[in-house]
Amino acid sequence: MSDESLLQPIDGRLGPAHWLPENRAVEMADEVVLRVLGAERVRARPSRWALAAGLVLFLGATATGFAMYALHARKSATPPVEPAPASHTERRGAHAFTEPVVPPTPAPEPEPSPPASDPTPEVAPVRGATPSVRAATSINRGDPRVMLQGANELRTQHRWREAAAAYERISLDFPSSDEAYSALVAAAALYAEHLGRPQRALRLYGQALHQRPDGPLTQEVRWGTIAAERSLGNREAERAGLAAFLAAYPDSLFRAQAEQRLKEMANTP
Amino acid sequence: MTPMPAPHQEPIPRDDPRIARAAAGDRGAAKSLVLTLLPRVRNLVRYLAKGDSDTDDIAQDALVTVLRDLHMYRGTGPFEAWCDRVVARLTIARLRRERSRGTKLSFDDRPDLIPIGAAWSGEHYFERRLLARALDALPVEQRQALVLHYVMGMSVTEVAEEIVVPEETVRSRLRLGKEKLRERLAPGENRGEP
Repeated sequence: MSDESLLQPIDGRLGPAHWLPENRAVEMADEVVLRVLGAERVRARPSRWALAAGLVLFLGATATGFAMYALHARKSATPPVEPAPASHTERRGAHAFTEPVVPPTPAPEPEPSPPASDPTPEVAPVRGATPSVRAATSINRGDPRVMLQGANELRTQHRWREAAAAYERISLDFPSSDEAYSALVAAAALYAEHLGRPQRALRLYGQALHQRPDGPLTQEVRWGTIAAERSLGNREAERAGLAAFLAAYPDSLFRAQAEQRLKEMANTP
Repeated sequence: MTPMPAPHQEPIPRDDPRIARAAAGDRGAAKSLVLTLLPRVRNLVRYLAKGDSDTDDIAQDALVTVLRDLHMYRGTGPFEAWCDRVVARLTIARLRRERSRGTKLSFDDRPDLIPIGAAWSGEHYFERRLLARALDALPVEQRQALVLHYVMGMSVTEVAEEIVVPEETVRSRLRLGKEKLRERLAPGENRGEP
């Protein structure tokens, strides 16, 4: 067989992408739609209970954010903050690490602009060819703080997939906002801990670390990265991550856990 | 529930009503469109990116971009070609960004599984899998030139504009890439190992 005969025009038949079960394909499509159009209930007018819950979440998260920031700045022996009220207490296997908090982060830093998506010859230079389309596509794009509250609400309802998609939308729609960084970390944690997608978690953690190498959630990001590497069976990366984590955060509450895991790894081939 | 489109679908017409409806926020139309595009998008991503492990992740992000930017499609060319451009651009940018960050992409080569008794024809599946593995062994620049030119059907000039290199460089990459691919796919070569 020659390369020319194989390098045929792209199509949607089987290959070269690995085969995907139908249910997974449907899940992927659902996630794409969620990330672009949001969860339907989030768009509805929030009830008084939802508003109250959002306020509690926001205040708790704010307090947590400042506590995390102080912790990070001092690198002191202060125990890591408790998860925000939105957090649940479930833990699973290798991901039995901390759940990232979702605070509005202090001291916003400039971030790289998102990559240009598609100025192809088919693409109009200005978004929104018609007013009706503009209105429709902007229906879910509002205040990132409100979106963050909505995502937190979904998380409290254990609607993990919708919550992860909502968090990701914040980082997509408002990449330079303070909320985007927190949302990235929260989405990564959901992918790792509840959605069985450590690969995606790893990518989002990497993105968060790249955006804010010294951000207030860096400790959580690095810990989550280690957990994701473990889930993926990347022992060397996990080992290196644990060693680096212990060096960077000698007073961390996770120290005992990290040391224990390193010992286990040393005793098993 | 949105039915799974047939894998041997016809090309999506440029005036397919799902495009406008999805751009206007119709969830059913959006899901149907995404499901239709998904196999093609995954294939293109796999042609461009090494290994299987990142295929779905990148494909999903690419589809998010396609869906978000649907209103920018003006209907003057084939819809799928427009999507291909969006997907290729996002994939290449992402791979470049991750390389510059030094992110180590996992290289996971999934087994060539297809469901027994599936209605889908696996006629070319294994050949395509072999080709993707052969592409995995190529330098990324040569790989991208080959895929943009042969798989996506872009002219040398278009490829040069897309990846911002002189046309002569594109021709050189195509020539070298083809030679290496031919060697890789020659009978007796170990095709499975990158």
